[in-house]
Amino acid sequence: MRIDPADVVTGALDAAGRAEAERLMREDPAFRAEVEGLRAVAARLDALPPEAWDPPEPPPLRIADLGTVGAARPARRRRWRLSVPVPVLAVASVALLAAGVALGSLMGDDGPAAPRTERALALAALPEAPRAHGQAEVLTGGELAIRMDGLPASRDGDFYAVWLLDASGEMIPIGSFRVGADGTATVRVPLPEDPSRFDYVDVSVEPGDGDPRHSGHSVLRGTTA
Amino acid sequence: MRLPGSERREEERLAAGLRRRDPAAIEAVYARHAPGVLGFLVRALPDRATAEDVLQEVFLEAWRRADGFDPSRASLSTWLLVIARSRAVDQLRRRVPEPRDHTDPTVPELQDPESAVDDLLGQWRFAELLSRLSEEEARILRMRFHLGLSQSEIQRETGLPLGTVKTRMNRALERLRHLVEEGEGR
Repeated sequence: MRIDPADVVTGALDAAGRAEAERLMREDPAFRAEVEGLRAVAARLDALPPEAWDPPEPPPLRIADLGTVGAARPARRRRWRLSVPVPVLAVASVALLAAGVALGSLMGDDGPAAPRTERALALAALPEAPRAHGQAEVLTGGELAIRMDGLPASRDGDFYAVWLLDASGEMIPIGSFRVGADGTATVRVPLPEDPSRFDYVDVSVEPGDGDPRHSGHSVLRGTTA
Repeated sequence: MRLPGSERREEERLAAGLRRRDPAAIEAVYARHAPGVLGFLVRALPDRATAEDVLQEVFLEAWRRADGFDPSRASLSTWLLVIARSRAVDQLRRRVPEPRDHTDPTVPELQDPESAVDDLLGQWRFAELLSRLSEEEARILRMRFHLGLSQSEIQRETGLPLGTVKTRMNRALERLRHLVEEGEGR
């Protein structure tokens, strides 16, 4: 009787087959090694979490625009006009907390040199999220790190977006994220080549409607100076 | 782990696109690999919203670091999972742990987050191997090990002869074992 080692693992043997398999396990080291190798594989298959078999549906890639911003190809950057009137920006900027507070690094990095903080700024709450507050750092290497709390949890399909804008109302999206029930978020996004050209960092709530323009629903804002 | 030739060429093409900063390349990489990476992150992190945030970070980092990806050293999937592992650990370290009573013997010691994420990473890299099997082999293993069907139930479900079910399952297990050994041998 020929016994396939995989039959031992899958339990596909009748009584006579099991008896023969037991004998081979005792007397045939090669057979035993084969069965043990297959058993290890079967055990790993048994242990796989459901998400490994049925991966969840990811949200749309919101960072496609960010990647374009982060790349050294500014001509491809997309820009939109801000739907919030400029005078509103000016008023909001007066209410900002003083910038320049030194912050520790927000995040670690795998790279050989951890980024350092070049500039720090505070983000002030806007009326749509009065309990929100945030702190941002411009990091060496051309990134912006932002830590926020007090934000409303993201509703289904909605997300938050980070924008850079100037006083004329020109703005570009640089990152997106979602917020859980704890109302906190920490993000790190690449900056355009010359972030000093922009006057403000803005965080808005965006509906998942595919419209790439600013929704006009800003929750946090701070100057980049 | 060596990829089949067609798969390797496709990965090289995508890697070249990433290095050129071609948005179509990151979109294609996202379409292929975001579900798997999100599955890993959903298991590693405490909630779906956080996992989705970190997923965005992972692909953003892949975009920024595309020059560092060498398709001859690792698959795209492995590279992305390693990035996801780092970002997940960062995220877990930022969380404030719940207060615990260390004198209460009924409270189990929590696994170090980093080691738990590493365990998960091992599972996902193993799961990656399933995509190297033929469609029918992967399907048979899924029915047996994920859905928990017996060989007779698989026979009824698929309409295949029982002998074919057994043969395919045995062949799939053996192929998978070979792939595991090949990966560990590298």
